[in-house]
Amino acid sequence: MDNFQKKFLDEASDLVSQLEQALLTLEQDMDNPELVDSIFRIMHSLKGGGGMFGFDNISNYTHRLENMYDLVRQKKLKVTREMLDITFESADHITSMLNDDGSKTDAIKKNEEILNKRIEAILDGDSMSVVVTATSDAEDKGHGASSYYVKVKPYEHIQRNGTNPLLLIDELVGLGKAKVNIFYSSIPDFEGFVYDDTYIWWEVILCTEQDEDAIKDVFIFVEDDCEIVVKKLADGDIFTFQGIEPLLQCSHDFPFDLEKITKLADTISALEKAKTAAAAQEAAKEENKGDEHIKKFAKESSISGIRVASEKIDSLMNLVSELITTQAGLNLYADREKNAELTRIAESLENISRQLRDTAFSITLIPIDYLVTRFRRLVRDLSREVGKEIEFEAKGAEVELDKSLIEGISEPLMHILRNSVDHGIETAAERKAAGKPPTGKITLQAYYSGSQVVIAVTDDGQGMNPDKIKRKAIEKGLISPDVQLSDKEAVDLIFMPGFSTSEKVTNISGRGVGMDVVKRKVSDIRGTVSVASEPGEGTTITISLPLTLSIIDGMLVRIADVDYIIPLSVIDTIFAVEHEKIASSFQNVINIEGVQYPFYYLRDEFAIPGDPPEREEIIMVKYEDRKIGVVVDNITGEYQAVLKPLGKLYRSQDIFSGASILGDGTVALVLDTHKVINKFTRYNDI
Amino acid sequence: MAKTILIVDDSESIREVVNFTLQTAGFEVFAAGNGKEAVELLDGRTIDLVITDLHMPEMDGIELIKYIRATAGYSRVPILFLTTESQLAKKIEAKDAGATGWIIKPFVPAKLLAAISKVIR
Repeated sequence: MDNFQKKFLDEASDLVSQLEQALLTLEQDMDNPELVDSIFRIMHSLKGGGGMFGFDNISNYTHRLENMYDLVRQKKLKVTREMLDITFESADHITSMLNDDGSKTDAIKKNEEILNKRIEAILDGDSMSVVVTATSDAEDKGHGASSYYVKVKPYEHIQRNGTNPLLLIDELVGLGKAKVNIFYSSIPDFEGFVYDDTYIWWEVILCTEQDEDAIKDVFIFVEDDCEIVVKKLADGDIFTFQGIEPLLQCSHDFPFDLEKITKLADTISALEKAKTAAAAQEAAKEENKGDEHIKKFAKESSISGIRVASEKIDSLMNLVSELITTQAGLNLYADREKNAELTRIAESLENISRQLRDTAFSITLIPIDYLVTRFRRLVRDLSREVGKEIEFEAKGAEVELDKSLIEGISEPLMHILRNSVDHGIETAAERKAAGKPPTGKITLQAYYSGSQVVIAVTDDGQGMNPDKIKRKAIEKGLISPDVQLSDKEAVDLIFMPGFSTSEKVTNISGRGVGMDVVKRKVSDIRGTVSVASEPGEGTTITISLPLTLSIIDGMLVRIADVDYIIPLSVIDTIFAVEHEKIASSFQNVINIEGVQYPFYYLRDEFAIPGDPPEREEIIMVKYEDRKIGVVVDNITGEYQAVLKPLGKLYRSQDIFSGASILGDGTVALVLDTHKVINKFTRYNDI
Repeated sequence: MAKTILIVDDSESIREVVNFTLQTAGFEVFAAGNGKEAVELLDGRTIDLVITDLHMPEMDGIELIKYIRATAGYSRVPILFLTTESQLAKKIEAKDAGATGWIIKPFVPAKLLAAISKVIR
C-alpha cells in the first residue's frame, strides 16, 4: 500500500501543477470549455486517487471543486474571478494536504473551512446545484458492466486444506471478460520446493456485470488463506477503452501498471460521464458546442505512444546486448559455485533480462502484416483492372522487421506484385487452356532463415521464358549475341538496368521502373533479391534481408568440444539416438518413432575427426515445409546468444551466421541450419 | 470419469437431498451417517470431495476433518462442511481443522453445486 501511496503522491503533485497551468490559461480565456474540462478531469483524478489511497481529506475536498466545475461544464455556472481565486488557493491547499506530516493538520483544516464557505457561496448562487448533485449520484450507481482489478495471492499453505486456487481463478474469469497476469518469480529453487505449496499468484483485470460482492464471493472460502485485493477501475467495459490495450498486455511477473490503467480509466470515465451529461443537456438546450471539444480532448489525452530518437533505441539495444553477455558470465559462475541462493538470483535476473531484451526488440520491430493489407488491396484492384482472377495469400505476416526495413521493402514488393499480376498470372482463358485452375494465385511468404528474413513472392503464372529474355536483352544491346548463358543466368537478366520484357507497355508495371530498380532499392537496405522461374509453372522472387535481431534465443550444442548455437526458432524436436543407429542408417534417412527423417551428420559434414559419443542428439530443424535432422554430440541447453559478426576471413562461408561469446569467454558459432542444409544438399546431392 | 463425493450427515433427509442433487448433476455419491461410517467408507476408496455435517453422533465433523487431513492419501481432499448462519465460531474451528469451505444450511441445489464448483472441477 505504501508503494501505491507514494505513486499517488507523485501523481497528485503532477496533477496539481497541471491544474495551475490550466488555471493560468483559463484566466486569459474564461469561456474555454476545454480548459474547464481539463480542470474537471484533474479534480476527478485527485478525488478518485485520494479515496483509493487513503487521502480521504483530499478526496472530500476535491469532490466539492469537482461539483463546482461540473456546473460550469453544464453551463449552469460561469467562470468568475472569485472561482479562479478559490481554485488557485485550492491548489495550494491540496499541496499542503499532500505534504502534511501531521504537524500542520489544524492549520489546514482551518484553511479548508474558509475555502469551503467560499465554494458554498458560489454554489448557493445557483439553485440547481442540489438537483445536479442528485442526478450525478444516481449515475454513479451505474448500470451494466463494470471493470475491476483483482489481485489473488494465495499463502503458501493454501492447498493443504484441499483448495485448488486455479479453480478460483477460473471461477473469477467466468464472471465476465478477463485478462490474467501470472507471477512465477517466487517459485523457489528445487531444494526449497515443497510440492503442494503454492508459490504463484495472479492479477486479473475483469469486466463483469456482477457487483463487487460477487467477486468477493468467489474467494469466500479462502479469505484467510489468500491476499485478495479487489479494486473497481471503471464503470463500463475497460477492454473497450481507447488506448488501454498496451496497458493490459500480460507479461508474467510484471504487474499491471495500475496507476496508468486507473488514470486512463478515470479520464475515459469522466469523459463518458461528461458525454452523457452533455447529451442530456443537448436535449434541453439546442446549441451545445461542448461535446465537440470533449471529443477533441479525448483524442489528445489518449495518446498512448511516444516518439524516441533512434539513437536512443540503438544505445538501449547495445546496453541490452552487454547485459545479456554479462548475464551469461553470471550464469556460468552461479553454476560452478553450486550456491542455491546465487543460482536463484542468477535465474531471476535472467528472467528479467530476457524480458527486457524482448521488450527492447519489440520497440524496434513492426510485423510485415503492417504491409499486407495494402498489398491485398493492391492485388485486388490491379487484378480487376486487367480482368484477371487472382487470389492473394500472405504467410508469415507475423514476421517482424525493423521499421526502416519495412519502409524500404514496401515499394520493391509493390512492384514485384504488380509484375506478377500484370505479366505473371495469365488470363482465365489462357489458364484454362494450359490446364490450370482459372483463378491465379500470388503468395507472399515471409520467414526467418538464420540471420535473414526472407520474403518470397510466388505466382503460379506463366513463368519466364529464358530464350525470350535472352532475345530481348540482345535486342536492347544489353548483352552481345554470342554470349553463352544458362537458363538461370538468362532469367537473371531481368535485373539489368533498362530491361523490360513486356511486349506492350501497360499502365500497371511497364512504367519504366524495372526490376533493376527493385534490385537497387533492396540493396539499399543491405538485402539481396533473386528470381527463380519455371516456364508454365510460375515465378518466385525472393528478397533476403539481414535480420536486425542481434540477440537470439538459441540452443547451445557441442560437437567434439566445440560449441555451436542453433536458433531456437528453427528447432522442432530433439531426439536422443544411439550412434549405432546413425552409423547403420541408409542414405542419410533415419526412422524415429515410425517417421522417416532425412538428416545430416555434422561430424561428417564438418569433417571432424575422432570418435563420436555412443549416444548423440538429433535436432529436427524446420526447413521450408519439412523437418530435417542435424546430428550433434550433445546438447548443453538453451542460451541467449548475442550475435557478433564473423571476421573478414570468414566472409566467404555462409553456414555460420555469426558467433557469440559464451559466459566463460569461449566462442560459439551460430549455425544457419537453412544454409547448412542447402549447402550439404547441393554437395551430397540427395 | 465421474467425480466421487462422500456426504456425511446424521440426518437422512439431508443425505437424500444431497444425494439426489449430486447424482442428478452427474457425480458418484457415497453417503455415511456419521464420522465413523465415513472413515470406514473412505478406506482405500478414491474420493474427490467430502461434504460433512459438523454435529453428529459417534464421531463429529471436526474430528472427521482432522482424521482425513491426517490420513495418507486423503490429506489434500477438499472438505466442505454444512453449517448454519449462526455458528460462526464453529466455522473457524472447522476451517482450522483443515476444511476447505462451507455450505450454509438451508441450501437450494444451485447453491450446493456452486459451492462444490469452487473446490472441484
